[in-house]
Amino acid sequence: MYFLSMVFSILIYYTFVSIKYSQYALELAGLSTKIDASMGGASIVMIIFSAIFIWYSNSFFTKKRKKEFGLYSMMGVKRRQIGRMFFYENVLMGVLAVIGGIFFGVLLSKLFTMMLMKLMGYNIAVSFVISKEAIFDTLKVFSVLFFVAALQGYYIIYRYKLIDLFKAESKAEKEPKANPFLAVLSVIMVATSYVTAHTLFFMSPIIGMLVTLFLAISGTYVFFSVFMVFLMKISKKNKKRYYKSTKMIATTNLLFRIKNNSRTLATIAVLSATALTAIGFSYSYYYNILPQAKLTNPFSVSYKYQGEEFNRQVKEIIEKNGQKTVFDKKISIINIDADIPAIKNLPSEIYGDGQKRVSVISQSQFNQIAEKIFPGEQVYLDGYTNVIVCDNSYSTVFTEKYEKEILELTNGDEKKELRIYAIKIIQPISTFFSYLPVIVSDDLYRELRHFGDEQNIQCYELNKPLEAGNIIDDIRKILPENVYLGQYYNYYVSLKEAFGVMIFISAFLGIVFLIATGTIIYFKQLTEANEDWRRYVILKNIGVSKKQLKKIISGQMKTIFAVPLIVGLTHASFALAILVRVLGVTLIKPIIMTFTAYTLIYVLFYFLTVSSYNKIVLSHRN
Amino acid sequence: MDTVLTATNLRKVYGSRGNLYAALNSIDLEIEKGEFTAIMGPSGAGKTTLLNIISTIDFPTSGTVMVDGQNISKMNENELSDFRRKKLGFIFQDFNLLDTLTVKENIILPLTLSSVKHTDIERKLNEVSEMLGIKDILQKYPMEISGGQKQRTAAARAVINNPALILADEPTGALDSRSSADLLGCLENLNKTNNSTILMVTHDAFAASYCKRIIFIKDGVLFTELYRSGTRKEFFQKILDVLKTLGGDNSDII
Repeated sequence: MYFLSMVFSILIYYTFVSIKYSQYALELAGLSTKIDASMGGASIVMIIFSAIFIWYSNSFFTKKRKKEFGLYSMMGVKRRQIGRMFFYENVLMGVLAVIGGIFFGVLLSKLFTMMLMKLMGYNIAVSFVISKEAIFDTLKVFSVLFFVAALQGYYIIYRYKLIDLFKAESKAEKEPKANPFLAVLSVIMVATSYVTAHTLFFMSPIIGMLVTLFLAISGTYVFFSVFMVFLMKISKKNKKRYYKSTKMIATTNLLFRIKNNSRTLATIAVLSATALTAIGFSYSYYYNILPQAKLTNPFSVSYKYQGEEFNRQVKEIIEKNGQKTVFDKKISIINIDADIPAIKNLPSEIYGDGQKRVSVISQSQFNQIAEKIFPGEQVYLDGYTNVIVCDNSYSTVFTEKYEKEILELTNGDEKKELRIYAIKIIQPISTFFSYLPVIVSDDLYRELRHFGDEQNIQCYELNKPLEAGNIIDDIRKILPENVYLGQYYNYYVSLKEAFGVMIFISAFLGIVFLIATGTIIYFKQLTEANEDWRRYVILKNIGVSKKQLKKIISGQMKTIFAVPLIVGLTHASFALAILVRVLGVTLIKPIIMTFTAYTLIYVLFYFLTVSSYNKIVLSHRN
Repeated sequence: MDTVLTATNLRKVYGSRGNLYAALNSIDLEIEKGEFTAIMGPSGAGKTTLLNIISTIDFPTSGTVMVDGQNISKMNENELSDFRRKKLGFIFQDFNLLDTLTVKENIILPLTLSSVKHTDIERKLNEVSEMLGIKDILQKYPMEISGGQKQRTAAARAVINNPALILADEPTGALDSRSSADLLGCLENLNKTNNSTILMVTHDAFAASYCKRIIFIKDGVLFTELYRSGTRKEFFQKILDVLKTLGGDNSDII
């Protein structure tokens, strides 16, 4: 299991590095630096993580075998010889793991590269290539890691006194104490961190983040070491339930187990939360690329009206490329000088060309757009005062609020005051051609015609908008050079490239985290099974049935697995909730999918552990 | 008198084809209710095998064992667990206490497993802890008490559910002589006041001298039997005499 996790880590590392060195990636000019940098970063994370994992499991295995070493010592084997033996063992295992990891890495690198290309939106045939640099790099890094691990093992053996080597497993267990004050404090700390995440963070992000992280992480550790124990002690107080069937054994066993494992469990909870947030974050982004791209350019193709003859040519290009238009309209807007006195700057001032202007669009035209592009966003305004503003950068958190405020339109000395009835976070007309879009009733629109200059924008939406590359290139060729071409396809492609890399890395790192943490729990439980089997034999002897024993074991494992997972999921949901607020989009679906996948793998580990545990415990007869 | 245990024609053969070794060879045994019996014999005589079979931990090659009118050789795994919990009480040489439970929790364990009402549990606990003199240490953990106290705790656990038969496997094996005498006194007391049926395996003549009846086995067959008469000292002397004729390893007889 440890060996497999190691092989897997090396495999992932090799994949990252080989993609970094990969020829195709470099050939895609402009892209290569992006991939290079992110893969480099990811491989460093992998190194750090592998180092911690190797260090942890190594000291764990060495300690487990203390007794064996003690026996050798008793038989007169010199400590140096034992140390050397163990050192060679470690080195051999390291060599095998590296060979295995690289072997599978080479085998699977084509698959992984193809996966990455697919995620980035490329349809490139990837050929099978063995990257010498990547192999060399992996060899170098992991040789060092394993060598250090082997030295560490040698050191552990060398340092022990003989008596300690024999006492390895006979540690005295006393019932853990739980300070109720600390128990309550831990819950308060975690709860506070959730609150600060949503308040302090928005006031000053850096301090907010530090405070939140500190509270959440230390709160989690105290939660596991004190609160869990506290909780079980309380459950012991209820005699009626506590004395029921196997409840007493299950509770006390768990009490001791949690005490011995609290640090591991807390670490796993924190790691899970981090991994989940990272995966959830990049997955959500990846999931929302299209809406994100459409946030500045709502149409596949749009440009300032160039006459019917030009439109005919454009439609010809579209048809020639095998596509149809599902939206084909000339939209009129009026650009008018305007101000919202309640806020310092108009959004078009900040993100546009610095002018205090708005673009007015009639309700009927907006609804035509909405019907095709923003289903369900249709509006119904009447009268002459209420208007709806479309602000794609609006966020209830970061930007100034101006809902229900006054919008002033000016035309020289003439002034008109309107009330902002609502704000929509969409963009009905490309930002290339419009200022802050304002929807008004058709009557008001007619009245405002003399306030500013009316412009006509030709807008098309294609039936296969994500294959619009050629069409856009062709239209660009016939369009006068000083005329903007509004389209979201190119933006979509570049977003997909960037987030494709991100999701690729975070998914793989997440899987490595998950497998490593699962492995750590698995090991710890099995070690305990090997230490505790006597307890179960005693129970069997005094008449606990196999079924009841299995129930006790699976109950214990359930808690051990479920609590860190639940804490991790809760942490991650709060972290991602911030993201939802910042982005202002709903990410429920991608987040639920991430969480479900993570939980499923965890459940798999749970079943694996329970079955191995049962096997160990029930195999002993006396 | 009721018969609690009847073993007929018990055989236990170890080893595989061609290299068979009979640990027990057609043993017949009957124990009445309220008897305090010891099984003695040199190492390898088959004492522990016999006890294991009666405890349902091991199975005989042939023969039947009836405990309290039930044939245990015909039970399946689940029935056996149930049977062990309800009809048998165990005292082991190495105590077999759970170190994660307090003394009290260890004692009441069989009752909680049978889901007895918790008020009844407390009442029973009071009774047995008083009888065995461990009332003061109920809240302690096994790590914190002496060997003698541990074994008395184990004895309390064995009797708390009023088993038909209490089985003790070298209960004094890990105790010093004073604690041994205390424990044996307790067992004798249990036998007298509670009319508990106790079957004890031991190779310690001193421990056996507390019993009412002693069964000697050698090489897997019943050798002889002794019933107590007269004082314990006289009985002790008689046991030593039998052991002498039995031969084998008597070095630890004192």
